[in-house]
Amino acid sequence: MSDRYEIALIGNPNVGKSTLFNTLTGENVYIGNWPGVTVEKKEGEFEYNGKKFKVVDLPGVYSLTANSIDEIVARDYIINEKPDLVVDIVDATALERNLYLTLQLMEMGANILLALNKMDLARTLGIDIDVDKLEKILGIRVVPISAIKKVGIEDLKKAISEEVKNKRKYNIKYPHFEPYIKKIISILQKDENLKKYNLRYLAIKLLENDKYVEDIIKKSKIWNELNPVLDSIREELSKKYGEADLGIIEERYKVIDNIVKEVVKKKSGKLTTTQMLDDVLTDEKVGILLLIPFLWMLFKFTFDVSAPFSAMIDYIFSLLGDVIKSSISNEFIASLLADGIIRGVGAVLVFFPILAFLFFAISFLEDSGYMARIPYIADRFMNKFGLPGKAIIPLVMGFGCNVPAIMATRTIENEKDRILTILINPLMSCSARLPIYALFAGAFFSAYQGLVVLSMYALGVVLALIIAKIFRKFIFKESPSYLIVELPPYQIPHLKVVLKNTWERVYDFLKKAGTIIVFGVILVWLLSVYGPSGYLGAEALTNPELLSNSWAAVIGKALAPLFAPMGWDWKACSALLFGVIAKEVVVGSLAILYGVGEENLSNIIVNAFTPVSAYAFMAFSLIYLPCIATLGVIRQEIGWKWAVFALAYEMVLAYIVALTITIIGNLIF
Amino acid sequence: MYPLAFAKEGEEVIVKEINAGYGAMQRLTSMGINIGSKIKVVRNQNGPVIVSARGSNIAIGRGLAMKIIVERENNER
Repeated sequence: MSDRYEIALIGNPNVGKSTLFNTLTGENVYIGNWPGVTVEKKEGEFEYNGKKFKVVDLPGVYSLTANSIDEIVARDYIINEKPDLVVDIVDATALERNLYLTLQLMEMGANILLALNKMDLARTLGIDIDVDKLEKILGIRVVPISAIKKVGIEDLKKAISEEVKNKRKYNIKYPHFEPYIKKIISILQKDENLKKYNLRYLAIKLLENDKYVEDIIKKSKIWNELNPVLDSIREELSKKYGEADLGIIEERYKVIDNIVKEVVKKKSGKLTTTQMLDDVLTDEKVGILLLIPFLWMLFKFTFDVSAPFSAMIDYIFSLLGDVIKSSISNEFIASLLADGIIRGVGAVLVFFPILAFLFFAISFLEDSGYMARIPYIADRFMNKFGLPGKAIIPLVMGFGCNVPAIMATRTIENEKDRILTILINPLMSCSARLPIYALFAGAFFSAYQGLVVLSMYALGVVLALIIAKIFRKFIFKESPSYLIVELPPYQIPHLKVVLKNTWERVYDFLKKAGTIIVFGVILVWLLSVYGPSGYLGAEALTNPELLSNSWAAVIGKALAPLFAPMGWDWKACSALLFGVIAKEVVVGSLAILYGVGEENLSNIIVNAFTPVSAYAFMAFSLIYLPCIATLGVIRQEIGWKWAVFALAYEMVLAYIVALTITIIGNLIF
Repeated sequence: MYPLAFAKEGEEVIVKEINAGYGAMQRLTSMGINIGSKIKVVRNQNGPVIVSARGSNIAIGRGLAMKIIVERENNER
């Protein structure tokens, strides 16, 4: 027989929680979402002494006051699921702040074990912690560890296996509040239905004006008796502390200060590497000057290093397509497989190297500690456009590919800030749009090619910032949430942690956004090989005569009048339709539609477009609907409603901009 | 008493008031910045203010730093 227990890991951000989770659970990790929210849920398992332990990784939080989704998720889990043990990971170098969460866990009456992480680092910093004394004062088992160096892990496992059975009661007292707490508990006791909760926790939360707990109690029959008592206590407290909840916070920190005074001895620390680096990296002027090359490196690394891998995957899939076409005699099935399904899967997989390298670079910067400084440096500038400082990273990433860029918005806690940052992201000109610019700039503006292409990127940035400002004003009416971010100490990144984070994020993308991309590609294939007259044959994909009878052409022709002011023919409109798959497809589609190879395309389009209509076409390609992959990832991150909104506003914006360029251009030339 | 945004680099101050909304205040307090706590201003240029509080460095947006009222520690060297 084997015993099974469920334990949870909790701790402040940057305490080394993921490292410990990985060390404890090894490879058996299941990643999902917490019910109803997009917060990632990780579960793993380990065995010790014949007992099985399921490990749930809770989000990194500073407290359990339910300010963010993360905090709500963590709190609800502990209250409702009642794990056998909560392992609270505490940073030994910042014990004071970390104990705030510990006290809240104790208030909840959870069975807790303290893992005192970064003990080695604390020692080098001259911080000495009396573990035995800490254990005694708190009444909780304390195990000193170093998750990174894998020190104390066996001790921790042993302690976990012992503590899952000892359900302990703690005795942290809040001297100035005990009489009030007692009074409230004496009333709460009268309701049998409240017995499933920890009454002391309910009492403290009521004093703290916690809405969630208040809602629970309001349903109770004792509410009428409790309400006046509570009001008078709160009034008394607000005279003393300004607000009742401020009083509780102050009291918690007083308790912490007393504990720290007892157990922590600090020798004078020396100037740390972090201080030295921060003197330079967070300087107002030098910091910005250094940020630019850092972002450039991130960008170059992601897209240049991944390019050969993407090309390889692209090649393999087109080869695979050819093999299937030549080996399956049924032409319809062969084309569906090769041009639809295989091309679709290929379209997903070419993102794989880009994402892998991007997430590797981001995880690397995160683990090093530099990532937390970037929003600090950019905050002021971004705020001017109604964006939070953290929006800088996704925006820069957008120049490469909007898909990973949108996934990078996950670090933005405030939901409105995050939606806004996602909505404007497709305006950052991704690398897939470059072939379109190159084609038209080469054909029409050969003397100023570079400048014209650059003007597209600039147009994207300017539009993104303007749109951000407009949306902030009319849709997300409050100002961006204040930056409050911890700047963790710098460290040399740990390859294993970085690789693991990278893989988890890439996997997530492949699983979720992948299906919609495959579906989109198959849809466009269907529109090309079928027409009002029925099945046209797979040849339509290479034969302009046939293609002009397809649904894609019909749609292009239907759209043509709308774009007549810009002077584009139906072929240009159909090409834009194909751009939904990925914007670089526009170029290939133009070649097919005009019935020439890509190498001769520029000779043809010189006749089909004027310089003004060409420039308008470039701008339209920049702005109009996000590609299917971007749309898929927007839906994955913030839902259908916003994905449709992004699509709609971009279409309108693209039309307005293209029309404006046409009008102004025709006035000048 | 003056807003944290006006404190000088290297100054040690005591937090007297936090005039921000409930959410921002809860977040500050959970990160170790509450009324009565002693914080050291590590960096204060034109952007956010970096303070050292209870063993860690925290960057606070300038707008919020205007709403945190502090007082200079008396017993300076």
